[in-house]
Amino acid sequence: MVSKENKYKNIYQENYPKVMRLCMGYTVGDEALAKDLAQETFIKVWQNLDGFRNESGIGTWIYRICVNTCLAEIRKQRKKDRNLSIDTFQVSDSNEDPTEKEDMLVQLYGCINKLSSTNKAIILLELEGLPQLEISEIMGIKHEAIRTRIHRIKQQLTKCVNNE
Amino acid sequence: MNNFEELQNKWQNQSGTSATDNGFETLLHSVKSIENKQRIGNIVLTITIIILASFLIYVSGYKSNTFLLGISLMIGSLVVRIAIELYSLKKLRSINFSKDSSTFKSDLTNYYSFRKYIHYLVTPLALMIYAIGFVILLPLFKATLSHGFYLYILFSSIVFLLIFCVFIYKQIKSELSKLKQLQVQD
Repeated sequence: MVSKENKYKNIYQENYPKVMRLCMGYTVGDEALAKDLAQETFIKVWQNLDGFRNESGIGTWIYRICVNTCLAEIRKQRKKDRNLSIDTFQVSDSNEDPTEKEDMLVQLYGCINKLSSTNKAIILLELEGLPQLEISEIMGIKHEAIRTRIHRIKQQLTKCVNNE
Repeated sequence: MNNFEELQNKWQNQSGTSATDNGFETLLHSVKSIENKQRIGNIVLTITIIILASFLIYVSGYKSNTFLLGISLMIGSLVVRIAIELYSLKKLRSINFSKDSSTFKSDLTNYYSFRKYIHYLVTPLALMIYAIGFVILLPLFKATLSHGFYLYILFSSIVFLLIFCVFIYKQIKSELSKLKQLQVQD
């Protein structure tokens, strides 16, 4: 029998990278803030692990917790994030590398930050390569509506990254 | 020119997002520390209730109705306010983070709407009743305490009330802004 702690460690190791990427998307690439959000997500995973009933895959379940944690926590930082995004954008446009991150990722973070909180979550899940049906389950939005939204956001995002 | 697939590829291969053993140990430590804090919180609350109950039993021996009225209003408003805060905390903790995002958002909106009712009605009422209780007690303080100590109680209470009001104002402002953002259609 696997102990709760061992099970938790496996879940953590398997899911940390995708949780961290999602949080980075929400925090406009602010790694420290993203780490805090990822930690908050995994604390909630631990607290709710006994109640997980395999009704959805563990991955979907963790994505839900992560999206909701970011949604609930990020509001305190949003104004700051917007300013950060604008600053990053200006530096990026002038071809100066503000951090060690690649320009394209920096540009991408900034473009994602321009989206509404729901659209941001949807596109972050799409960037992770999740099937649209799973995205619709995570977001609680009908599959058809998700498909249309994703199409629209993808166009918006690609245009923004390419400075069109 | 970057198409979406390129962006996706770049996104999934970004560095600095992998799990570490050290990271897991820190996480586990946080989890245990939260559980401990909850245990300590419950102990502190129980002790506070015992002290408050003992104090009430002690002061019930006083024959002065004015004193009993004043102290009851002050302690009563505090107890009601604390009880509502604890209920709110329980309500917030009961929000299920593993539900789909639309349901979660609606649950969170309901929670902050409930808090709005507390902020606009219960909190001002509790503060008012607390202040009335204190004002009722003032003549008794003046009659029984030295002038210096009376002034100390009077001014320190006003300062405490002002600090408390600023703290509550900040909390209300932050929660109302969260509610506003949650209600933005997207």
